Amino acid sequence: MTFLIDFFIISVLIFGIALFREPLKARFGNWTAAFALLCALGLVLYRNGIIDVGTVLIALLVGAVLGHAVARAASMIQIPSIVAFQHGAGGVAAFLVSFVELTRGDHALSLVNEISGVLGLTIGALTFSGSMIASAKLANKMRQAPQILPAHTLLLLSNAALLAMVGSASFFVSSQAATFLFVAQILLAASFGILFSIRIGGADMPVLISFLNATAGFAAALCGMVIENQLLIAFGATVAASGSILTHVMCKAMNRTIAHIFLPNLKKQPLSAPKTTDSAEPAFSLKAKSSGNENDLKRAAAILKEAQKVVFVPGYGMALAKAQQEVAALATRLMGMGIEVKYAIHPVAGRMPGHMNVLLAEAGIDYDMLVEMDEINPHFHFTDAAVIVGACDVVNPSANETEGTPISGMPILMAQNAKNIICCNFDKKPGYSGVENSLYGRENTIMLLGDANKTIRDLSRCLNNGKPETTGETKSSGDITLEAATALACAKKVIIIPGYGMALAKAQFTIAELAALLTEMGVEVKYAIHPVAGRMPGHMNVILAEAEVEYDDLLELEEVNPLFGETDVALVIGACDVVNPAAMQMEGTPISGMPILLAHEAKKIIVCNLDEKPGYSGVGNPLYANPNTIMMLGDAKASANALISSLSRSVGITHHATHGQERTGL
Amino acid sequence: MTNLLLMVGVFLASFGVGYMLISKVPTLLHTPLMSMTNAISAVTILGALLLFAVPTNTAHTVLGAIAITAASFNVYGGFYITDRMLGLFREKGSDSN
Repeated sequence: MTFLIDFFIISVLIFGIALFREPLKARFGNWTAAFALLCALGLVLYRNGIIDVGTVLIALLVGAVLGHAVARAASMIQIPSIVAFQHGAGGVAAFLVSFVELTRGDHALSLVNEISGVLGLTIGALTFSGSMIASAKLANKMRQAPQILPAHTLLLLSNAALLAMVGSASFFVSSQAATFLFVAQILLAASFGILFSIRIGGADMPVLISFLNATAGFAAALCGMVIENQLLIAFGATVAASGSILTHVMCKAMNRTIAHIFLPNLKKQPLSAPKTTDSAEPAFSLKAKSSGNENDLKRAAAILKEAQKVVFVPGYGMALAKAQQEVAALATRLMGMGIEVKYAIHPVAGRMPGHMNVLLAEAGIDYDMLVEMDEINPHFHFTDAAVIVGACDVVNPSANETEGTPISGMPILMAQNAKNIICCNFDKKPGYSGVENSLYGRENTIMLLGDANKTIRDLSRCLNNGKPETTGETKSSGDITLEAATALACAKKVIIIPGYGMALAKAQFTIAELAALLTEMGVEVKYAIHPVAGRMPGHMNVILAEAEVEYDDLLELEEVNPLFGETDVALVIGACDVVNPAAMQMEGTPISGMPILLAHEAKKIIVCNLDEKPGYSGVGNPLYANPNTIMMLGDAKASANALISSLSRSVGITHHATHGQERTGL
Repeated sequence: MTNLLLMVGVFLASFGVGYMLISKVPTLLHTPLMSMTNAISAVTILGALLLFAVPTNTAHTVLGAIAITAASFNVYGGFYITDRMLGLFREKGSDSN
């Protein structure tokens, strides 16, 4: 019976953990696990009468109040440090329980209990001290760099040997002497934890903190073996499993073995070697760069403005600069401009597993925009701009390109494959690995050095007022109009493709006028109506009807598509997604498989859209880059008017095109 | 001996099932996962409570009380901060804040 109840509670806990597989259910899973723990607590109280109720209640209350205060005050950037601190508290509880059980001697302990007790004592104490060091490092209360004592490994090994000796000696001495040995064991284990963790540097913290997660679980399970409590064993084992998985995942993501991280001696030499080679250069270029900063900012802003796909690559530097809000704001602005934005999350970016996810979630970013490494890497090829915010090693191409560096073989985010790279890092110094980042020197990389928070804000600002600069480089609008008008004048068949942009520009009357003029010139004009063009079913039909276009000139998708092949000019007016060939040519876009109007099959395509940005779907339109396409960007009504006047002149018809009051009708 | 086997069995079974399930947790949720399991590891609070089920001397009472406080801090804070964190994750289209 008791076993059944225990089994039930363990099942509840497992169920709670199972819920963690989906983001939306995780919160409920957390409560389920808490409920399981509460049940376990109630069960223990029910089965065993508590003698000193007062002390127990006060202790429970003090702990809960402190726990609440700390957890409530913590900002998301402090999470790793807080979690490490809580691990430490768990370690304290574990070694104290083991100690008291071992020493109070009111009932005989079996050998199994004793062994578990000594192990629990040891692991609990080292979890405690190790966590405190980790927490201090993560909170920046301690230097993050690895601190290596003379003969560190030797110290560590002798400490371990002492632990083994004292631990085993405690089985063979009187209980009086054993108590002293247990105290010695606790102190030794604590010093072991300190020695062990001080030489682990900031960027390896995800591994350390995951490892401590596992040891905290083991300590709890061992506690359970001392007092022969199945619940404790099961709960502890689950945590140990979780910590082990996370440790493994973190190691894999860094391409290192646990031994390399925890016993870094052998790896020390190559670590510093590449650093010295060009150590003088970064300081110099830092100065040089900051003077040209404004120019670089403008260039970066121009790139972003032209981009269709932007991927942000956040690193721990973003957390340090507290720039996540600014990043989110910039991303929102870019998305407002029709640019597709994603975030590339490297598994070891930050200081604990999933750290970046939490920070970005705090900044209000939807988690479906956060893309994991394996998933995003193929996409960098199609990315116009990769914006790196405080990340270095995780985007360092040297990991793939050079042998023998500490990061060689480490999986990285392939930001180097993006067309442009905008790097908002504090400086050009190498990351934690000490390996120079070859990405910084690339031609398509723009370095925006300095505080990321400020850099991103400046970038947002430049996006606003840099507008007039970008249009100058292209052909003059007069040339384009002439080219388009000539194409139309020479055409026999023209198909007009209206989209919602035409409705927005209120260009339907001018278009109807243009069509009438073309008809007058002997050109056959039809309209192609996509079923979802506009904002409601049949929207385009209504709008064109308003401009007195006859409805038998309005052709539906199936009807018009076979005609494009023999069409001389497809005139696109404020339409994008409905003529985007990517729908047929590319897999996995939001419009893949959507039926489109085959404008690209026409001999010439004239696009009168406001800009080159993707439509609602966010998918860039390859039609714009088609060599047969003439882009007339800007207000559709103005473009149409320009076409009318140009046509009138070339054909020699005196036409009242630009006035537009008097429509020619037929 | 049967006791030992039972305990080892419970440990291995829980470890195995936990391992299977947790392997499937998306990396998106790794921080909350660690934070929650951190809270669960404070299950040592059960052991700390049991210290008070039998008469003890003052030294042990003090140590036991410290253990309960530490574990209670860990368990309460752990679950609470996990909940706060998970509250921040939102799906596309859901209302902000």
